[in-house]
Amino acid sequence: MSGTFLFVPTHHTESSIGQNRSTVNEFSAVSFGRVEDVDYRKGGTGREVYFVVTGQAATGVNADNSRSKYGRVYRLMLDANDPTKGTLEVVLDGDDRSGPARLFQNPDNVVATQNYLYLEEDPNEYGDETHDSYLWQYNLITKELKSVFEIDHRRGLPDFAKFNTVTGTYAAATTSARGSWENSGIIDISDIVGKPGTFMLGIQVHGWHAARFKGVDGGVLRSVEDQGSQLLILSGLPR
Amino acid sequence: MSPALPDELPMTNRTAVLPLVVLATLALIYALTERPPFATEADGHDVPSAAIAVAIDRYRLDLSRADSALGELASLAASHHIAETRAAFLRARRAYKRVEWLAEHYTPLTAAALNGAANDRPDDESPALVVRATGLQVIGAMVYRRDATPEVLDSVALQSRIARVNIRRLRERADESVITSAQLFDAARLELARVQTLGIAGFDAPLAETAIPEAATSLQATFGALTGFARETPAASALREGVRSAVAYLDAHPDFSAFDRFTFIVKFCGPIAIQLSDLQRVAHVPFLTDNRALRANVSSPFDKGAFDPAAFSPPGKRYQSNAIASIGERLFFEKRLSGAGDRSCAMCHRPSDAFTDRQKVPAPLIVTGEARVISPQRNTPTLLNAALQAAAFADARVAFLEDQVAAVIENPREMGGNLEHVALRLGADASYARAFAAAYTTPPGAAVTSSRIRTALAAYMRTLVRLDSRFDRAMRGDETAMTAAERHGFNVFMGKGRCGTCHFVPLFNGTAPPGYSDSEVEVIGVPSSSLRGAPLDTDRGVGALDGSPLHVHAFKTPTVRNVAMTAPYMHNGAFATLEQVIDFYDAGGGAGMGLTVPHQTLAADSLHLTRTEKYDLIAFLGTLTDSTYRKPPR
Repeated sequence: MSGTFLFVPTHHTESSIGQNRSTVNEFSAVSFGRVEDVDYRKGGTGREVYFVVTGQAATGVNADNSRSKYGRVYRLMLDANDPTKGTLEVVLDGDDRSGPARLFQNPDNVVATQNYLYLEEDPNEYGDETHDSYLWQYNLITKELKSVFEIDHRRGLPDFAKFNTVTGTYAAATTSARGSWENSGIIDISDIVGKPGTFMLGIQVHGWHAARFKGVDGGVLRSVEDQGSQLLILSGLPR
Repeated sequence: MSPALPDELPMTNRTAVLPLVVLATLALIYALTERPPFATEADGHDVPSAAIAVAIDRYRLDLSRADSALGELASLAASHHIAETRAAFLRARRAYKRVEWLAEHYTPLTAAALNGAANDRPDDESPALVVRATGLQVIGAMVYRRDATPEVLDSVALQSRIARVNIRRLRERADESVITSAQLFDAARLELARVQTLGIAGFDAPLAETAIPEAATSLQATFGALTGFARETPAASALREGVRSAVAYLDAHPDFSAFDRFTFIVKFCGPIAIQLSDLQRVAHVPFLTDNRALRANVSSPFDKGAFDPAAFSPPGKRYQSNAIASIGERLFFEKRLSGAGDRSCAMCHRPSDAFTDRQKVPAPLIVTGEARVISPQRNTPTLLNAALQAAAFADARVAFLEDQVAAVIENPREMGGNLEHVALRLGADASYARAFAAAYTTPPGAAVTSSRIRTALAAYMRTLVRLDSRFDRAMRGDETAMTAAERHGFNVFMGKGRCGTCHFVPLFNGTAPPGYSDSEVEVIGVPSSSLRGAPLDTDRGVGALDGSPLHVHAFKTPTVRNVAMTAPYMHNGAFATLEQVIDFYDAGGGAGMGLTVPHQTLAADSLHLTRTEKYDLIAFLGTLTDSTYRKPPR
């Protein structure tokens, strides 16, 4: 599909969900089911942009299922002469439950390298999750999609309960058997550390609570927040 | 989880807005048309930049003052002086009222963080998460506690510091933004509407009861900032005079309960609204033309035709024409929409009963087999003005009428139909096929489709907007339209009775003014019946859908327009009369009646309404009847 970006005169103001909806209506714009992250392919033209739509339950504004439920990855090829124009296509479609991305559980973040996309999952916990959050690798050349990491919830191990409590701020959230923690942001740090194939990613461990996690950043608004989380460095993934 | 955009977010926990903010900021407005939707102001010589500068300079100055007032509040609270803290709180509120109109324009989310409802709320994106309320209303709830202990005052100090961070954000946003004169006038018009619909109802100062003097502050600050526009014209002096007399009226009648809102709206705000539009034309400032529920080019929410139901349509192509709505009207009476061919929409939404069925809840279809029950049986709502809300059903489970249509037809306990089958059945009927083919631009293929059935019924419901009751005529200046008792009832509704803080004028539903873009849900603790000692109704409402503990027993605020025609009341039809409804609220809802209602959003205190007040309240509700509708085709 080809299309164009339009100027939003109210861009300088914040807008509520309802106001956003009416702006989208006004422009006859595409309403995506929660755009979460964006990156561009490295080493090429710089005009090959990927963004991730995480998906949303088929209720409320998505009651007619016109938006994604399980998540999609889009490619936006910007016009060489006019960056406000471009072509949009779906690259991976989690809603096609017999297609290559049929196991998608709400891809959330993306990093694009020269030859790959790495996609992190943050399941919406519909209750039909079959795996804990994956880090997906998508080969832009061969189109192969595979999981390269799965978050380890310590299932079946003696300390499982310690990391999988359902108390605290996420009390009622953990209704799903799997996938209740999320991968959370990924960047390519190869050039910073001088070691090709090195990535940094975050994991929000929603089931790991401890008093020592409270208020460590000095923030005051979510002072009750006591979840553990981790920043990990991954090496050896191809770029 | 989303890319960090710290300076795009207010200091609240609304992670839910992130993807949308991302959407807006990245301008992922990838559209299929190139039609410029907004009126844009030429950058030429006619832009009164000096007049804009006057307004913005005042805003900056007022922001500094609000910051100082909050700083003072923080330090007095920290030193645990309760009386001084209360006084400083009132000064901080007044200071905020001076910046409210532009804070709401530039930064509505930050404005909500500064002066939004005091209730914690579920995160939009992950409803199981609780988002803590912040701001002046939270502070107000603390400083007026009988047991304002040192710990409570420490929390006041903390909240005041959070508010200062948000004030700083207002400043930054104003510094980095441009505003056009069209936007400035729009912000002023919306502030005038905010004062009338929320301010004088005590929406944001329920305990302090300082709403009336604060309304004067809002008006003075807002209209005082427009003095640079067409300064020497009669229009400018008329507006100055209009505001001056409104403020004089507010100054002379500061008591919250006794305040005559009817007179204030009709005699003072109505003229200001017209004077503002006049000045805007005289100053050659264009009106904005963006699509919203409260049209951008009307003077006041009380004007005829002020609301546009199309603003609540789903994204994409609009299917709204007389031909389509007329098919919808025919379908509304069509029994073949139901599975057994024996139920039409009109059998429960009876036009002669303001589109209700007068039952507590409709008799469910007998469900055999494994059909999934989608929701409990609930009271049939009126369809009059149903188009003017951002959510359908008592549990707000869909956003658009098109989806409401599908959900009712396909609910095994309601109509037990299947839209695809219905489309085939009606498609075989030559008169439907002809009508659909004529009303819709038909590509090759079937004229009658499930999607067209949905859009046609939705189009019909969008024609059921009726805003010409005696109340509406009174608001538009017809002095004979309401009796003295009815006017008094309106004042109770908007004041002592607190009704207007949830049933927002002039739609009287939960669609929040002055943006009218989001519809609210509330927990009020409705019992299972009106019998003495009846337990809390078991229907978990919104909470059954989104899993939020704060939404258990929450229901969408329905309109009370035509309420004299729509008994029985509440989601379960528990109350047979308006007297019972008002007694329920007078008692403080379920919690006030002694039921255990976790997270009730209605204050549990008695309203102490007198017999006359209740009587007049009901008399007023009678003025909201406008159930006129076109006769069905057969």
